[in-house]
Amino acid sequence: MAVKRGENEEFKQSGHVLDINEIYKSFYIYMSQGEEVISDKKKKRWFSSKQENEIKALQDIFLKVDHGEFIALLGPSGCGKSTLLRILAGFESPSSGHAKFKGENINGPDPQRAMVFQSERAVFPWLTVKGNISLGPKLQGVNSEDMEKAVKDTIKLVELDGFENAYPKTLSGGMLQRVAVARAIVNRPELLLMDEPFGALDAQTRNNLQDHVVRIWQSIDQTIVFVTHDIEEAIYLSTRVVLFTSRPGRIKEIVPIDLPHPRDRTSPEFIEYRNYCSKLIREKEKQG
Amino acid sequence: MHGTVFPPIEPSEVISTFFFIVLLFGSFMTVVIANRFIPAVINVSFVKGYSVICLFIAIWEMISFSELVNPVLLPPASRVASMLVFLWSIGFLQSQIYATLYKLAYAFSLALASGVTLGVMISYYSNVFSFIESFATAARVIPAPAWLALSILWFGIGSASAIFIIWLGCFFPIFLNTVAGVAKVEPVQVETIKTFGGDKWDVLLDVVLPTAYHHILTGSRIGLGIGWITVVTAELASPDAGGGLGWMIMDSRVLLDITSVLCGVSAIGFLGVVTDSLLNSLEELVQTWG
Repeated sequence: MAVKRGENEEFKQSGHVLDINEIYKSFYIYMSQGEEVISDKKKKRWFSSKQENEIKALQDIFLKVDHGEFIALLGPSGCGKSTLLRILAGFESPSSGHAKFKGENINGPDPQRAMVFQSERAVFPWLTVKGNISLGPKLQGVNSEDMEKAVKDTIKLVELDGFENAYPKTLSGGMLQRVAVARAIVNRPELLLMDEPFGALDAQTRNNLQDHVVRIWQSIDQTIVFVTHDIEEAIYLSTRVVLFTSRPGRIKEIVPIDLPHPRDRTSPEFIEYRNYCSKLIREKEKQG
Repeated sequence: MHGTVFPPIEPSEVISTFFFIVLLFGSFMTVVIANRFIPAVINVSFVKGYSVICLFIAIWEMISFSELVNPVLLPPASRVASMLVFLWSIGFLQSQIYATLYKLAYAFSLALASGVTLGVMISYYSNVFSFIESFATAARVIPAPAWLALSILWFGIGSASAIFIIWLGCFFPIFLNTVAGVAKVEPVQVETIKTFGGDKWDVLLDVVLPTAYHHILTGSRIGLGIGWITVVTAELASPDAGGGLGWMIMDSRVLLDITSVLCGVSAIGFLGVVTDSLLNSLEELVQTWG
């Protein structure tokens, strides 16, 4: 598939796609009448006297991501890996440190950094499959001919042919996530961020979708950062697994996975990797 | 218009009860047969609804015909039907319908525009609604016609005073439902728009309005119902509110012309069904994705 990424080729020689340096992130929790409001800013509130507590979500994260890598951020829930992803997407800003994308500070959302959300609700129920997928090109003012072509190619890529005019309520959970993936990659972004996209699916559908993602990653030469709490998923998909410890989130270890795709979940090497990662996770549980 | 004496209907113009019942049955059978051939336009639920209306009118006719009640206080349906035809033929009914619908449509459009705009704006600043919630509740429970006296003083004699209170009646259901609808917006959907480089107007058009659409429609239907109550009340209460069906009812009552009163009532009922089904057909749009 012909993809315009000349700019990226240039960049490939000069440095990393992502450069995450000394990221530190803290939240303030406001407590009042049983409700919990997490805010990333210390707001002055005139009409309440709420208790403020600070939690550290991330501390001292150093990570460099090269073009074409498939990074899995692995850790238990609440370890800050989703926060890191949201920082990369530009929805949140770090309290200190910096995250750079192609040498420039990340400063708000950008079409070059697409995101696949965990929630199935991210797919707009009032638009058809085709309408959902053409959302990105439409918002960026791509002309209708190019849009038509890009949407058609992407639908083929995620194997949703024949469902172009179906509404989301008629689709299964797995198909909905494929729509979400298609919508994110239709513009061929430099970086694809995925926030536990298959967390709510059954095991079989999840395996199926993992194969889809690997195939897409290989066929359009994408850089992917994938958040998961599933060890097997992380090892099956990624080129490097970044293991997190929780509260505050720190990188415990980065495990490069030297296995060719497609990977076999039952091969001895795979099981070795899995045991190694499980051991690391158990270790940090003991420490915690 | 005020003080118009309706020309009495000549006895020869009034269709006989027997003929009226035949006519009623004939129209019902026409609807049933039409259902066979054009079910898309005349569907089964229409036939069911129409049959009850025909039955109701037939029973009413029988009660008046047998003089179970005083025919002056409850004129037979056939007489009301003749009167409707007569009032239509002299153009009087049309001008009253126009006066009422004009006020209602004017005020309703204003209420829809202002209710949706303010509802979206207030929801955008999520803190603001908690400040105005109790005020909105207080303003909502005051029946709109209670403002009529003030409204006439402020806006003078004519349609404007009525339009103000109809707007007041329609506004709150639309406004409060819009706020409730916007509260249902999924943050992930807003973030999705942002990742594609959309600004806040894209968020408004592509996420907020489609999400709130259903609620806005519900608010509009409630608002329209209240609008009908308010417009008729305003016309009943004040001959200065610019004429209309409510005024026609009140004016005929003064002259003890109960036939014309019933003409006004049935015209309101018919128009109410039409306006509500217009909004209802918009709601069917939602079913495709609902």
